Amino acid sequence: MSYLEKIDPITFEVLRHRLWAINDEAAANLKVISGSPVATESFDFNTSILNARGEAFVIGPYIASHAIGQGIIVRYILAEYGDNPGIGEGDMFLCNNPYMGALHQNDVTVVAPVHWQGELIAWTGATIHQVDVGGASKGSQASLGAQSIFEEAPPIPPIKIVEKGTIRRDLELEYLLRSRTRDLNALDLRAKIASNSVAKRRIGELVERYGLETVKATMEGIVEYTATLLKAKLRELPDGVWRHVSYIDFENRIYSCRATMTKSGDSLTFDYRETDAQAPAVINCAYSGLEAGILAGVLPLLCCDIPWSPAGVLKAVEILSRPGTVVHAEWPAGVCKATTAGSFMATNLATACLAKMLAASPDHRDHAMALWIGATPVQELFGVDHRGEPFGATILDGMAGGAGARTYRDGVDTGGFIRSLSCVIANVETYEYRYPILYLCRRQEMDTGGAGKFRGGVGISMKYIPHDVDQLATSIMHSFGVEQPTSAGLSGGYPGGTNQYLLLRDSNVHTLLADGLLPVELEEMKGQLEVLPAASERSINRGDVYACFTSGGGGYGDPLLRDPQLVWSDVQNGLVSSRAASGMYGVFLGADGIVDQALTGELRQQIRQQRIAREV
Amino acid sequence: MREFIAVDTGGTFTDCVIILEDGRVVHDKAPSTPEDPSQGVMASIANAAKRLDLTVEELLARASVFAHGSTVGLNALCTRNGARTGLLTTRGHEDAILIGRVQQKVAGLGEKEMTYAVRLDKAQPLVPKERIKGISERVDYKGAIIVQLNEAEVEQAADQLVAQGVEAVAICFLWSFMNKSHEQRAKAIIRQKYPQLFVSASSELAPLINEYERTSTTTINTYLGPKVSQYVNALGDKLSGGGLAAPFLVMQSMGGVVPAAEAAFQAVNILSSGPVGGVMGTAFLGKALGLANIIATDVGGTSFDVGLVVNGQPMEAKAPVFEQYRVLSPMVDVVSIGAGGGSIAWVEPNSGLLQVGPQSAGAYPGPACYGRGGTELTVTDADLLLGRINPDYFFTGRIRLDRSRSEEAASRLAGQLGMDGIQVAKGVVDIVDAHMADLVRKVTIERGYDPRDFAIFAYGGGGPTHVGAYGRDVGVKQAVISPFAPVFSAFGIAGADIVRFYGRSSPMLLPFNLVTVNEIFVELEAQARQDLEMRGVQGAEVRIARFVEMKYRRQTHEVKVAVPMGQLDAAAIEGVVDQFETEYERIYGKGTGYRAAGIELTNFRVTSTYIIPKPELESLATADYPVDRAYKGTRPVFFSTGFIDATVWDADLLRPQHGIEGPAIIESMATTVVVHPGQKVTVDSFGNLLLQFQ
Repeated sequence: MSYLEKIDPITFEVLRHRLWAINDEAAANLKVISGSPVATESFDFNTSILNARGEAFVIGPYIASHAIGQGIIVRYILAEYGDNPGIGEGDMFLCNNPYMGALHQNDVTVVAPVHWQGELIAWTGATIHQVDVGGASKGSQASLGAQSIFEEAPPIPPIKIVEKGTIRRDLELEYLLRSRTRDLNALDLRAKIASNSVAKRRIGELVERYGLETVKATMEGIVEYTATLLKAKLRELPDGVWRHVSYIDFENRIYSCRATMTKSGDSLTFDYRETDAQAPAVINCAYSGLEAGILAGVLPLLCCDIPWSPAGVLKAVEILSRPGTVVHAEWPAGVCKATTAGSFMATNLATACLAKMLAASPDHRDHAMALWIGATPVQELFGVDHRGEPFGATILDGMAGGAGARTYRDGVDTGGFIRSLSCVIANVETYEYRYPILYLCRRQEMDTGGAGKFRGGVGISMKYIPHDVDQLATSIMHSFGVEQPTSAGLSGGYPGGTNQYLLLRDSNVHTLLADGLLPVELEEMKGQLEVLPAASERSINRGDVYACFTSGGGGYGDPLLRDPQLVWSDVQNGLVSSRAASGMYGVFLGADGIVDQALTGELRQQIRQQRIAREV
Repeated sequence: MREFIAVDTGGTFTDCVIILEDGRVVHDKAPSTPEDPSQGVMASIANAAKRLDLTVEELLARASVFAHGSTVGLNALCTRNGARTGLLTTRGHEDAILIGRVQQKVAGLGEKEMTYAVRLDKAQPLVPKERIKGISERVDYKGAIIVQLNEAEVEQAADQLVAQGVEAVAICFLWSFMNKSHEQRAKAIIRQKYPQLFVSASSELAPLINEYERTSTTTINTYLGPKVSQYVNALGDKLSGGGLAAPFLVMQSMGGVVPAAEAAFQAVNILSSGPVGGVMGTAFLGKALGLANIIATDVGGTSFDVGLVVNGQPMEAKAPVFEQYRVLSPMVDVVSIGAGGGSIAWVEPNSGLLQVGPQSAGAYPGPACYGRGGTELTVTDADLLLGRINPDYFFTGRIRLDRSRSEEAASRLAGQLGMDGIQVAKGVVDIVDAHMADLVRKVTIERGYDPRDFAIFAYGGGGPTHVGAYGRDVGVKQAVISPFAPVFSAFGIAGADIVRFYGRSSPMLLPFNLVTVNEIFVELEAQARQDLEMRGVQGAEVRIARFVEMKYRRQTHEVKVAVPMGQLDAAAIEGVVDQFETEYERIYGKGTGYRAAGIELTNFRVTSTYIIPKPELESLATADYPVDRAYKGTRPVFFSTGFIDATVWDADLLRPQHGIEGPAIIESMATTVVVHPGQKVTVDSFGNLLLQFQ
């Protein structure tokens, strides 16, 4: 390998580990200063180290996609800012413009050049999802009704927020002014600046100790090393073409998103050109979201045993897209929900194609997975709380969807979503302490996992009522995959369920509670059921019950091949209903709840006959 | 006579340490006996007794305290060999422990395992869904009852669980720490009908906010209670049969020991194992040396463990994880990576790069040089090839190392890498030292400290051999190598006091309700004093301390702050708040405080410490002979660029005021210290070797 001509392999290994540790330290600094639940509980942030060309080669184990955005921002700065305003020692740039790299406006990024004796040798980057960055809609990421980016939170191009080591007060104010959470954004800005500073300092110390050429060789080497490992794996996989299509439902329209993946030798091409034209606003992603979304699929599917070094991974990956589409929007289309819409979809499509390829390889089949939850239902709540103070909340329970089935085992129940493997949901007690709500239930939801020889993990569901207040004034509920499932099955497995938002209006819940009953099922209560679309805004009043169901993961293989004992056990554990046991799996449970082998055989035979008879 | 006896059961060996009345320390070990750990315990006592020319009976009769660190609970948890358990929850929230806040699938995993998406799974449930029963009852965040407990449902659930064959029942309802009446009533109903069942209620064990963690804590406690109780009783019988009249104490995860009789009811609090004992040993010895801030590093056979002692106290883990379950039990913070003497070196097939670990050859077959069938090159083999350890003088001389086997293992890799065997060995050691330094840096910096402000203790089989490199790399000034390094965990247990922890959540925003604050402290302290009185302890040896955990509202970093004793008034609270803000900025940096958001108090904590008077550790007389008497000769040792002659010294003959300059090797039967060129070793009055980096 060419980089090993410039550096001995032991030093390379030591420095490689050290650079990952430096990035770790940068991320730790960020978390320590920020202290916000977004950074320290949801882990919706990331730090990276990039080479002088703006390619991220070391990233933290958080949201991988942020590193792609940082790279695009750096490359924009390199291309446009060299002479004006210039890229000097001690400068840092802030950007949240999705058309220049940020994934959506909430992902405010700070990147910093690293100089050594006047030479630009690397960059560092830090991104945190900010709770609010302005715009007409509270929370900034679901500007329902927007017709372009102009009605969304205003994007900021790269601005030199730190000049020669000092924060520019004018630019800081210009950035903070528009936010409803100014103090939090100010603290997070300091966290990002500190994280970049520490990474820069440590890289400097490394150069001092080992010499510039050695550190440079390591930085290049990590890219080459990762690319070598990935290409070797690609060569072991079958050549071929795989396709997937999926849909985003938004404001009375269905947007088709299509990918064709071609694998030939040691290269992988993702072609997203057949995707529908962009929406006016909200759900699209810019190119940054597409590249980040594809990477977020390639890393967990192909790189479980390869370092997550984006620049190296991208050496083997080519992306074809058409400007003006949902997954590669053109200015001035809005993109404020990109990370939970267009970019998320890009991940779904990539994951589905990769899974089909892995499933076709006898050696790598055990790395294939059906799709994990394909769209996370999010809820933003605003109102006046039980202390009489205004509050804003993002309820993230919907992250607890189901994981996709594996080729040898069921998917993880309430396993989360694949773009953030370490995500956490808050405890019910935390939400109830912070916000004026009372949960009737939060549980794993039966029949939400896709049926299959191995079942998709089930999703979560929850129901709550306003508590100690008369009204939750504003509830913005946004997702997709409400009209159709998004977590596809694999090799004959069924998709997971759809996401659902429901309101049981004017119910008798308070009468029941007063009578000493604790209703959990909607059927236990009376009221008018309002079924909501994928994105809507409502008030929730006293007497109303809010309910949300998330999708499970896709299944793997024909459900008629599932071991009837596993179906029995799922029924015992409340993960599959007895109706689905017979209808989907062809398993007949006798009156005593035990599998009736003979009748199961007959039932399965019947279902097969029906399938043959069905017209295609 | 008043001897302190401590026994620590480890994976391979059971160690026994005795602190004699005159301050001398005697120790020995015996193979662990996982089938019945008490056999290993008794054997290690017998071996140590022999060193004093005593029988087991004679030794036990002279004991003033017998303290024990056990992995019985942890083993039962890992092998899912606990009691058949049922769980009662609030209806609609039966799945909290199964959902595990989603994060259960990655809890406790290293970064590489965490990103191996296809292999992730939740914990194998301790209680399957069919034995989790939802009960109609509801309390809200204020402690107000929204729905009364349905007692008929409790009884019915108990009947069903008993029919399902359970031996133990855990109860965890929402907000029970704000109003425990429902849990208590449910417990009473079950106890009345089924007195034979082991029942644990979350509001008694861990009345703390966060239902997932509280449920895990209570469930683990219930699952292990019967097992731990059985073991402790059986061992207690053996010990008193052997003549022990002194108190039998058990080590806790958060340092300190408790009477064995209490341990059975809080099995979840004694899950800790050797690594925690090592940090306790560090704190104990640190106190004797007057060192307040110490990084504790343990290089074992399979792992490298790092803990911190800050202001004389072991640092507490924020959210300890056992078997992927996050628990609310206080625990000493120890972070591990797979890097130890047995870590295997290998060449990554697709890149051709040399890698070390995380796979380990363990104790069996062990490194190639052990000659027990291991053929792969390990860190210990590399140390041997570089001349750093002595083949005839390793691990108390019990294992004779075979250098030719290490050479064979190295040459196999050398062929693949295009290097010679010595270069490979040097590479292995450099890589593993760098990984260790990176972990030390990570642990200190992530907790808001700078490693350069700390001393470092190095123990475990390989600590003294490697600290010269990783200690230098992180920039500490001095490393301390104790003569008890090989049995440091047992040493830490011997030095422990009886500590009990009490806590309760009652989240509130500034301005705090003074009445509630005072009430909660009074209640917790009453409980603490009652527990002490039950043991017949009072007076001056007892220390009671109060703390609160606070944070800025809408932020997540909690900071623990000491609170004055007695009735608290507004001024006292103001002092506590000031202290919180100062401490917050000290840890998280100037300007990180976020007062505008408000300040939240979440947890109240009280600890009671019963100080066990211990002898002063024996001081060695200053040397009355020159250091030359410890000189054993020279041998070629590979340092940064090649083999150079290093002086070799006998550690047992080194005395205070002796000094040695690197390059040097200091050997004893139990440990090998590598002193790099430019480094210096002195000896303190306790016989510790002090490795100076400047």
